[in-house]
Amino acid sequence: MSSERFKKEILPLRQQLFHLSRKMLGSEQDAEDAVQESLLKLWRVRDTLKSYDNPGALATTVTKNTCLDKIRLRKQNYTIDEYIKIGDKDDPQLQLERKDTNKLIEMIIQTLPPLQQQIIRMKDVEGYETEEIAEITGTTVEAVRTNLSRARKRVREGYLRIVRGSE
Amino acid sequence: MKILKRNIISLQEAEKLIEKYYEGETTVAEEHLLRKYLSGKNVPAQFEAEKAIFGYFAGEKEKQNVRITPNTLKWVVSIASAAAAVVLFLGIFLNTQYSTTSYAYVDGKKVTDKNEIRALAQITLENIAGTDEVENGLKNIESGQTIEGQLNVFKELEF
Repeated sequence: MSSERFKKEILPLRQQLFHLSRKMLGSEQDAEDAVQESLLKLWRVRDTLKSYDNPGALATTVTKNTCLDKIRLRKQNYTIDEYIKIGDKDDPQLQLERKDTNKLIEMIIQTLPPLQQQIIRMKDVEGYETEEIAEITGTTVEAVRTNLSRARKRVREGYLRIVRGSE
Repeated sequence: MKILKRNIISLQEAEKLIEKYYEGETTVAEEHLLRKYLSGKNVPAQFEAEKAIFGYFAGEKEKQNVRITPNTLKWVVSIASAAAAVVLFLGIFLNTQYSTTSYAYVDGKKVTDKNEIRALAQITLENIAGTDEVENGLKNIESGQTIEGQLNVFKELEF
């Protein structure tokens, strides 16, 4: 599916997906995050969307699953603090992992909220401009920028806390 | 922007860009400059975290290699279509070649003329039909001679 078709066929479903997410999650902010995450997931598989008879139904399923993941995550909210706590001095495996900078950054990124993870990857790894991400998620440049900024700052803080804490 | 043309940045410019980076305001081109700066030698210790973060992203970028944009995809599809067309053409071409060069070996000699092959095949078939080998074989089976003959082999064995 071309990006034009994605914008024409998937993006108009945004409001409907938002209502579904709000019902499942109960919070407007979480629902907004879930919709953006789902749209980004769909964007990644946009080339296969044309093989579905009803891309709208697929969008609904993806959004439902994203919401379910969020509900599960709420129960096991894995934060950087917990990661530091888990990184007990007695665990040689974890100590070794901390020495591997790339693995450490990877772990910190995994502690970010899923939407922030997706945005930071699209921007810093896949090379999308903020405006492009805003267009795909049907949101404002400012909203993407805020999430991106939070994600980047959290990675930096997490890294410094772990590295300095284990010195 | 001036620094984008220069492709090399100073410490002060790096500081400014890093600040912009954390605000989520850098462009992809500016991030490229930062990546270059931070992967260089003698990066000040104050950029320890940035060096690690940009190093990680550089590795991830390498893993993912080329971002498949719709244009890249179109290009890949065109090449694949062209390759498929060539394969199809060769398939038809070779197939045609085979069908026009049917041949048979008669007494070790290659014969390509269809009429000649047909005539020779006819003669061979008549030769087979002329013998009563097949007919005799069938009679033996009907009368049970073949089966009995084979069972006789086991007669001498004691079980």
